[in-house]
Amino acid sequence: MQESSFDLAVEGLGSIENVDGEIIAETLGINMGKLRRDIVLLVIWAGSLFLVLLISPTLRSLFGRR
Amino acid sequence: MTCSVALIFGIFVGLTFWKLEKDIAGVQNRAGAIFFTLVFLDLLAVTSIDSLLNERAVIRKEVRLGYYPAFMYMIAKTLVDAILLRAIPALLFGLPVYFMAKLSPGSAKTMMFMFVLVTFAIATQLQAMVIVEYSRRAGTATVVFVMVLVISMLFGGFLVNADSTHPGVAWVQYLSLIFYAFEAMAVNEFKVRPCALVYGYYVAILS
Repeated sequence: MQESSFDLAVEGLGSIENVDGEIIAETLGINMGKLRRDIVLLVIWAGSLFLVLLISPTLRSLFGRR
Repeated sequence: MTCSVALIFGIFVGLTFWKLEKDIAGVQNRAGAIFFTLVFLDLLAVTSIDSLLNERAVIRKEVRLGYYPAFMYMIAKTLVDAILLRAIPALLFGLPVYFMAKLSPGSAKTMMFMFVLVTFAIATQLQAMVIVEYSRRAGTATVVFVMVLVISMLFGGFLVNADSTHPGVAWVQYLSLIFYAFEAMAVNEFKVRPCALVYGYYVAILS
């Protein structure tokens, strides 16, 4: 039975060392150049949540909730 | 108990993703291991709901009586929970999974993985605390937490490719903590060139 082009493509990919990182990234929808951005945004998200937590008593008193 | 549960589960997950190969199936399994690790730690943050709600009445009374300002309680609570209930369990879970699954070798990549894991665990704890702080009842807090968790998972980068979704909802991925952590860990895992972590700084330098 003739192999499909997909089968041939998968066969050609082989082990992970032979595969261009961009192919894996494209498959998973990951941008390989965004490591630094993601780490910074994760830290910023955590910091923002912490700030929201710190001001929650003030917000509650502003909206009249106990 | 959280630490022992994290360690036992980490060993179980490590055995599930045992010695992953470097082929196409291995790529799928590595991504799955990373995604599952993040979802587990996000679910673990639900333990914050119960403790905060139980303490809330007492803390508000003590704040009203002027024993200490509310923000001092938040800082103390966050620091203690972040170290004892987030950072340590994240490491106890992540280390067995990392080495048993044979994820990317090298101290730099391992440190990067653990750093993102701990930061993510602390961020999810803070997210749970914010949800509880603005909820009146445990039921409401739990429902909101589960909804946020499910949406985070959906747009986390593993279940659906956000580029292929409708533009009206594609932006939701930027609100997902799992998305940032998953992408960072996936780049750390799959990028061929190693990355170096400058110790003491929250910065990754790619070679």
